[in-house]
Amino acid sequence: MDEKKLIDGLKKKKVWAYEVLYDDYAPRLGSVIKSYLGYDDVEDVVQEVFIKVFRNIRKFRGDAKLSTWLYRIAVNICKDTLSKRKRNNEFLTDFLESEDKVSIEPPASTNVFREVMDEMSFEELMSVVSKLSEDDRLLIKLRDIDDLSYEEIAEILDKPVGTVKSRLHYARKRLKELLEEVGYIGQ
Amino acid sequence: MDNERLVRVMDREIPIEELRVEEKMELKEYAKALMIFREKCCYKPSNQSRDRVIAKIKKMKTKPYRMLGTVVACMVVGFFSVNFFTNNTILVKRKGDLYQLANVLGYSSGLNERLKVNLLATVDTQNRNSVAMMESEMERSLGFLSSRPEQNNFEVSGINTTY
Repeated sequence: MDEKKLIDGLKKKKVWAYEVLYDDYAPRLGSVIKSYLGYDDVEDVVQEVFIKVFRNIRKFRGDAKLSTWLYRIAVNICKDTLSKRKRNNEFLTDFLESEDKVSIEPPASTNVFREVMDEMSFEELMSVVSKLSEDDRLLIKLRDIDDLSYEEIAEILDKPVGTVKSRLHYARKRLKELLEEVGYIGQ
Repeated sequence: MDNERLVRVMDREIPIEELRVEEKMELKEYAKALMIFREKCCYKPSNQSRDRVIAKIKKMKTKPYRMLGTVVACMVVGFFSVNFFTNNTILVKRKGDLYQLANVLGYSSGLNERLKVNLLATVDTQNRNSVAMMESEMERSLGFLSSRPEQNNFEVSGINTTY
């Protein structure tokens, strides 16, 4: 669907526009939220994103892409959720602990993917990825998986492009080091 | 492969074809880790959560109209209540109190006397008078409502209604 038409529908608070928005963006936003928060509260945060979109769509001027604006809302809600959890001294669900959920509800493509990898390396790599910090995970997700440009990431995170580049550099370095630690690469 | 080179490869500044065989192997393993990460983050919303979000949006969309409806309903009820109570009154007097009856009938010279007294009174006396008047009104209304007619000191002196 044409993005301009969609934004117009969203601004007029048309239900069909929100249905289209949900179908198009909920999986993408959900995966960003999942990469940042782990497995906790994904559905709640996704719902909160759409509510925020509904309330603030009139403020969207169209300077940035709609997807960038949505990612930014999602990241800000994730940050709020994390700081709330920390304030309340809630137990932070470790990324590692939710591995069971992955094996319980893998997406359709995962089965094929897992078949080509032996179980041992899959689990090993899972634990390596889990050791990354929230920010590192988010940066790697946005750049290396979702293939966003540095400018888009800078806009989403509200940071200068240079900062994003250097942080991503360290995130990649950290991932590489973790892979080396388990002897996966560099042997 | 050093970090700088890895970053440049990941940013597509160095084409993969230019990498040495062992670097390609290393990159392949790195890419495998990224694929695992992608799988780990994959999210497929259920129909249930879709319906919940859309229902919430529909509810928020109609919220101003629902609020407006409530305000209008309250205003209508308020208007009719005020209208009813102003146009429909039951006048109650102490049994045998001719002064009250005179008030009802409109021959209230005593009332004018009372008003004169009130106007000339000091602020404190005025307050005391109005408190006393309120108390007697309360006594009159509550006494009339709570007691049985035969035990009651008050009786209906007149009914004023448009219905």
